[in-house]
Amino acid sequence: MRLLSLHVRNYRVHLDQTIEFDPARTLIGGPNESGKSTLAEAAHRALFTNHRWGGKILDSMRSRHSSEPPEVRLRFHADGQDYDLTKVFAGTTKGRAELRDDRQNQWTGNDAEEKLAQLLGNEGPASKKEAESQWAHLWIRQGDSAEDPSEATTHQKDSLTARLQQEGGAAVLQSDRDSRVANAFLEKADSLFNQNGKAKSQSPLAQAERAHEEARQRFEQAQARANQLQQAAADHHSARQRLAQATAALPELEKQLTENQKQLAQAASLEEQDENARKALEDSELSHKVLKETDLRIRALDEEIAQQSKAIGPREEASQRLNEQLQKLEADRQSAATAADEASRKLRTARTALDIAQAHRQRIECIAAQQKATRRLEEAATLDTQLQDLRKQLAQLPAITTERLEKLRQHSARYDQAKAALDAMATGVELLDGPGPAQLDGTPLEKGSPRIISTIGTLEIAGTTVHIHPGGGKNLEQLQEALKTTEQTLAEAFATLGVPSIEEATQHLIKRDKLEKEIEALATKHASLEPTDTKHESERLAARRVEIDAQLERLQSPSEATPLPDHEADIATFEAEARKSMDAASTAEQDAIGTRHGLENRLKSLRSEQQETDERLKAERRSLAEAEVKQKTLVEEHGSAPDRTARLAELQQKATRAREQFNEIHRQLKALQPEQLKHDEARLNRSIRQQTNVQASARESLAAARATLQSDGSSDPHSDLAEARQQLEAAAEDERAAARRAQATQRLAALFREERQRLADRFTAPLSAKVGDYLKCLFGSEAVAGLKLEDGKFGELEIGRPNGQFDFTTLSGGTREQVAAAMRLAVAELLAADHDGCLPIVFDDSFTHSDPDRVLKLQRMLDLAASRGLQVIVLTCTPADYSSLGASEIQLTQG
Amino acid sequence: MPLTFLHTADWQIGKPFGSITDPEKKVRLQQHRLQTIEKLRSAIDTHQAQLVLVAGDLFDSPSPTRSTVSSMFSAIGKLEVPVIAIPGNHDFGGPGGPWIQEFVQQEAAALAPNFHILTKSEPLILDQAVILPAPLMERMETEDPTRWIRTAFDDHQLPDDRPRIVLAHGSTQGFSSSGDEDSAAVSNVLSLEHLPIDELDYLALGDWHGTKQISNKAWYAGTPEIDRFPKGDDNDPGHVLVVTTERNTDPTVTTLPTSTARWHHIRYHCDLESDLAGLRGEFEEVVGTGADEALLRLELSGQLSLEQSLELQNLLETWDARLLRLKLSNHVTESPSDEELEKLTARAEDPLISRVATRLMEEADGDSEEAAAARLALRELYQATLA
Repeated sequence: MRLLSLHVRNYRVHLDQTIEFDPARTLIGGPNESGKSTLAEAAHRALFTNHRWGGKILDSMRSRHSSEPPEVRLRFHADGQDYDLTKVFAGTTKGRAELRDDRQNQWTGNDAEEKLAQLLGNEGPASKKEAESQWAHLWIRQGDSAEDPSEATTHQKDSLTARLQQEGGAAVLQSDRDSRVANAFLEKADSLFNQNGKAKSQSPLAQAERAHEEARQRFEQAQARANQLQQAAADHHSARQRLAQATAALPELEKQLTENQKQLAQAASLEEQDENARKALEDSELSHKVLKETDLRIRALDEEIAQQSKAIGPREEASQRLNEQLQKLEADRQSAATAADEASRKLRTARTALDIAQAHRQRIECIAAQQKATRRLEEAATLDTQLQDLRKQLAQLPAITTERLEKLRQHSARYDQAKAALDAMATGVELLDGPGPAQLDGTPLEKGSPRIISTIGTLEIAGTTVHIHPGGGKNLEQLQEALKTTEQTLAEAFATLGVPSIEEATQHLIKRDKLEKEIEALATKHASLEPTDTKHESERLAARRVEIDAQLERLQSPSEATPLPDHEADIATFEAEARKSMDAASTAEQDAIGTRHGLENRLKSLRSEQQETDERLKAERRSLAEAEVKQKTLVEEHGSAPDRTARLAELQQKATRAREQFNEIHRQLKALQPEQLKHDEARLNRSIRQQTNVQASARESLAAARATLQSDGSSDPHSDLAEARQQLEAAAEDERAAARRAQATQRLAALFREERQRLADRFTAPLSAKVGDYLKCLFGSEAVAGLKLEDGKFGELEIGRPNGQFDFTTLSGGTREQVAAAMRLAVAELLAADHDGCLPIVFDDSFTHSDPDRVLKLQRMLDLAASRGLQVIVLTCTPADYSSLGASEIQLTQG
Repeated sequence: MPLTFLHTADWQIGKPFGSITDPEKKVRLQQHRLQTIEKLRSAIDTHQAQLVLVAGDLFDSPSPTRSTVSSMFSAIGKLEVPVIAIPGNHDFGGPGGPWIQEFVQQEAAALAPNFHILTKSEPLILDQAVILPAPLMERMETEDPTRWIRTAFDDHQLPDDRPRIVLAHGSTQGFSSSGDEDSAAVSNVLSLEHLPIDELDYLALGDWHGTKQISNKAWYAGTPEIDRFPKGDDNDPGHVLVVTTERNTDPTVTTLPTSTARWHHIRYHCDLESDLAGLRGEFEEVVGTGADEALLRLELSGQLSLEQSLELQNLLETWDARLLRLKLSNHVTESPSDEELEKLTARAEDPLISRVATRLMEEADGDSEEAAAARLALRELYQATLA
């Protein structure tokens, strides 16, 4: 079915408007209120609104500018022919419908409506109620574009289903029975399992599971109780066995212990005997040993005494000889000592004589030195008087020195120089002749008497006053000042030195030099006399003489005072003789003392030798005496040698006998194993204790087991267990059966769900594919569409894009209108097969929310639809947006 | 003078029958065991029996409840002849066993003065006979309880004018209850070959639940009330023995059937061709009428179509209600017949059911749990399509 042209008269804004449709792409542009939607509506009314309807429907069609009834003429191609349809909408009586084909067939009135409905694929003309929504999937009115298109397909459900069944090959829809059976199993599965796949608590499976669990618990309880009884019976049995064993074992143990005690007593007795025998053996062996040692000692002492007695005789003779030598030597030493004492006395006398001679000589020498010193002191005193006189003279002269004189001379020279310089500068003024007086500096000048002026002078001659500037005037003052200064300095120098002139000063200086040289010569002479040292020497000599006098007085005994010579020569001789006598006496004394020392040394050495000999002798005598005492005592105690030999043999025999006895007892004791016996005793006692304990504990266990096994008959644990076991098995079997039934139901539900989905998917696949084709124009090659068919209704349109899967309702307004358009185009394409492969599809300002980029892509989609046979008619107020559609364009103008 | 007595054993009063979930049926089975004692009364009267010898396991459990104990002694008390028993492995004589419990002794004395439990390995000399008991004092005796009898005639002065009867409980060579749930192979072994057999006249044995003659003098009485499904052709439980014996004379033994409950076993192999008529027929033949006193062990194998499987399901439910117990071992696999298969998978009008059935068919092959669940699912699906 394809629209060819539309001619509208007296229809709302249109008084007379004709549009020729392009077979594939028509773009109708025009501003708002230019009547675009009115044209679309008019075409729809021509097809589906009965020409006889009036009332509100008719009123909505009427023109405001004309009272003539609205008239729509629509030419279209359908069922292989072109048709010309004219409808005049004027109510029941005046309304007119006329349909002609190109074979000159004509239908009017209701026939026309019937034929039209047939051509449009409907069973008959639409009712008032349904007319509006006819072909709603093809006539997209303003504002409906973003709505879910599945609603709009409701009217076409059957034809769409039929088309899809054809497109999908063998694809068929589930039957009512399918639906009923499937739903029954799904409901049953829902009643059995919750969403997590777990059995619902009231379901047979859950009940069976609970029953199984309860049976298991009952079984475990019964088993625990039965086990307890079984354990008690086992405990009873084992306790009885233990008691029997212990009771049987105890008498044997007691018997063994008694035997053990007997052996232990025997062992104790043997041990005592053994100890005694050991002591006896030790005693006899010791006695033998002691006697043997004593015998050996006595024999050794005998030998020792013999040797010592032999050695002591010669030692006594030597001692005697030494004693004699000592007596003789002591007499010699006495006489040597006397001689030495005499020699010493002589030496002392000689030494005194020499001391006197020496003191005497020193006294004479001292007196001579004293006299010499006195003389030097007197000479020094004279020189000192002279020096003092000269110094007095010098002090009275002005203190002029060569330097001072030189300085004075320099001052005088400077003064002379200053005076000469001033004189050289001075100007001479001389009055040669004149009538009147002339005055210089107030002083009248004498004629011809030149005057020298050294300062600025004022010359007055006959009323004329002239200033004379000697030397130019300026230096003159400096020179005068210099002269004054030097003169003053010179005068001060003279005053200081106390001389009036250089000449006198010079004389004073010469005089001072002469005096100073004399003083120096005298002072040198005075110093050479060393007056201070000499005075000291004189005092020392005086003291020395007192000492010597005292010494002499001490040395010279008043009784034998020796006359002393006075002459110097005699004094020397006297001293030399005295010295000679003393030397001789000294030599004699040393000889005597030497002799005495020699004797004393020999005596000492001999005495030492004698002492040593005596001590050794004494020790040997003591040792011998001791040995003799010991030997005597031992013999007294142990008898003589033959006695001792007999006794030793006897003791030897006794020891041998004791050893044999000891060995025998020891052997018997060892055979009894006394240590082992003690261990046995401990072991047996321990065993008896243990067995007694076993008895006690077994009796306790028996009592406890008996108590547990005691029944009051209120229940039968064994029977309960048997029953619980069987019930558990039955419950397990019930659960298995319930599980299997539940599994069967679950499997049925799952399979119905899967297969139902598979059928639906297979059924909607052609539609989904076509929607996908259109979506690819918009969203690229990866775009896909998903569509579900539930209860015969298409829904849950989903689009898949590279960034994810989106439900239609979650898309933005713009995307929704594009996706809806794709869905509509796909549906139209499918349905077109029933309409000669073509259906018109009208988009009335359907993409107002789409951005310019999408509008561009939309044109690809619309073009694809057109190329697949659809007649695409776009009404828009912005026709420029669709310039790339390549559509035949019709521009409406307002009003 | 000949002595006639009843030889019985393995009463196992108080057996819980835990696998039976219906309490009423359980109680009935338990009652049957007590009623057996009452049945002895007519046998005593009929055969003029002077004694009843019970060779162990009077109680099922070593710890019976008061009511079990009282009921049993009440029943014994009505027998009017001495009832002489030994402890068996279920009701052993030592600690943990019932016979030393005060209330047991008290109830025995009060309700059954004619009852004697022999717990000592020593001869009991009666006017009519010498009883040589071999009581089990523990659940598992490792030594032969009859060994004292080997020297009993050297150790004791025993009269030679009356029959000598051994009363023992345990397994003998070649005949043991090993494999039974409550015994162990190595314990409680009776070495009868070591006994001075010429000195003895009858060996009254217990433990083996089938009635069995071991030698000309030795018999297992078996349990008088059957308590398990048949174990084999030579295992013939459900009797008491009427024994007539005399010193130095071989005994005469008659078996009296006593069991009320019937225990049956059916093995049936199903195949796709046959229907369930064969199974119904066998049930009628084996169980017949009186299913309310019957227990059936039913072992099923083979394959059934879904239709038949559903039918079997109904049949089993019916039998389960009718029988005292239906012990089912069902190894039948559901496998749709060609017709059913087509009904399920070739449904052009119901593509969904068809697909699901096809997939379940793929999963149903094999022995895994998943395959079993798939078969079950297939059956349910089939059932759903019938609605």
